[in-house]
Amino acid sequence: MTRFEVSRKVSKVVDGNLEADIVIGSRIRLARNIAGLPFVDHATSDQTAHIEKVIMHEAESLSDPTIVFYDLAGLEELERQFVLDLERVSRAVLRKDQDLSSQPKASLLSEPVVSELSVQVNEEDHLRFSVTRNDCDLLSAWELLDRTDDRISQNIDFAFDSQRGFLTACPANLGTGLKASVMVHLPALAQTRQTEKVFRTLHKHGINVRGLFNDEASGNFFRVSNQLTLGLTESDLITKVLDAIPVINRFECKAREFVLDNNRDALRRDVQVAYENLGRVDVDQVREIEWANTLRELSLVRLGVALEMLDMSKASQIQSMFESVQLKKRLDSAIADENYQLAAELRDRIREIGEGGQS
Amino acid sequence: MKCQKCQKQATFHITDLTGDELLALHLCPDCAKQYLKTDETPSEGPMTNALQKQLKPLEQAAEDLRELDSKVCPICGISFFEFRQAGRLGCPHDYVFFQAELEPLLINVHGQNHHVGKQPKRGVRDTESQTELIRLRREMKEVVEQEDYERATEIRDQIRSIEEGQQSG
Repeated sequence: MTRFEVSRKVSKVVDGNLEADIVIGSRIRLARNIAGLPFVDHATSDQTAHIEKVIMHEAESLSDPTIVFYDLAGLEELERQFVLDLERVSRAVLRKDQDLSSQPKASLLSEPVVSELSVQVNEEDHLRFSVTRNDCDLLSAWELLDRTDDRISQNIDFAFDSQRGFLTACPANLGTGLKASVMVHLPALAQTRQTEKVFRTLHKHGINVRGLFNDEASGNFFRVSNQLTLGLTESDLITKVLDAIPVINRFECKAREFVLDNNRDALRRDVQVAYENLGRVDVDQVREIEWANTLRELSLVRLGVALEMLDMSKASQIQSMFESVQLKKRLDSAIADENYQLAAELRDRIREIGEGGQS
Repeated sequence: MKCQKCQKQATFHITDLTGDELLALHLCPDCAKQYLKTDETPSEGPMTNALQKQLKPLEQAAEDLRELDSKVCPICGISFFEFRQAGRLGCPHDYVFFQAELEPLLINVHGQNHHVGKQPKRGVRDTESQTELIRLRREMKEVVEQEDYERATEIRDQIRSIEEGQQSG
């Protein structure tokens, strides 16, 4: 399949009717290890420091303004994933609202983040870098990642074997070291309890689907990704994942029709309640937000917007609130890291949003 | 399939004969070993002898697995048991050193064992010297701990010469 065909196929899914809006974003990551050194778990602290120095030097020399370095070393694995993914979800939930130019308060958020390159050092592998997009154009993401990989490997020898491919700490990533994933929102499939059946079928075709936060009550957000990494080319692996999206979409659409036919009033009520609850969240008390509940409410609001049950004009308020929540979470970890320069920046941005909300 | 006596993976599938009944057992290596032990007490009858004949190779297999688990990579020092516990290997050379053990796992996970994706632009480097580097760096750490700085000097120079060879190559 050519790239054009894939893009067209997927854009149909995304740009189709409102019911079809299941894609939140996508990501491809590559796992690499530097040759001549043990994997991270068995490296000495001198060696991990060396790895960090070498990789940071290369990454910075790319002088690519889209590169985002996440300093996530101090965070627990789950929380780390959580910070990255939740940010994506909350940005995407009310993305449609950004089209309303009469909402200047959303300006801070409506920066067109199309793709972001992020680099993580000394996680499971020496180097994991990924491109994240807010659509599902994984092939464009791959182009950027492929190019970056070539540039980084001009000066670094990665552990590679012609038969086994790129050598990774876990054999499950061996070969390409590539994991392509699409984040999807499947509220109706979840409500009608069909997710397991659909996911099992996909599993047989080498597609893995997990809850976004490894948690059943994670607001009906899921991550669809390739299960294997060896024996197929990078673009074949990506195409496999992309091919699964229209299939999942068809199931979700059917489930939404079913819910509307049988449960419309109850759903409308739930959407309204969720919307009001989210609107009441006080940014100053973000630490007390119950995340599972909040995600469930976000999911309902997103579904409500998709099914045109919700008046979108007031929705930007919720979006600003979520941006503040993200910033506060980052502020906490900046203070914990004694990174007061970052803390000051974050404080100013939080105040800016707060003032915007009051005026 | 899970072991019938605990939650581990069952790798032993034993058909036992008790009286007239056929009994199928699916056990993990540990439970199989335990099961075999209790049956080792000598008793009479051709049936028991036949059973013991059948069980003997299984005991051998449990022995093999223990042996396999204690296999240690000379480069990074990780044992196969450690890998099985953590799910992560110690160094790139493990893919060579544990090749026979990893093969079925790779086929199981990927359905394939041969890479067809992209290759590093600079071409594939001499893996042997890369492996040697890991070994030397580990040895250097050990001799420094023993305060054997004479040997450390030698190792340092060896490491440097390999690194320089790579940069010019």
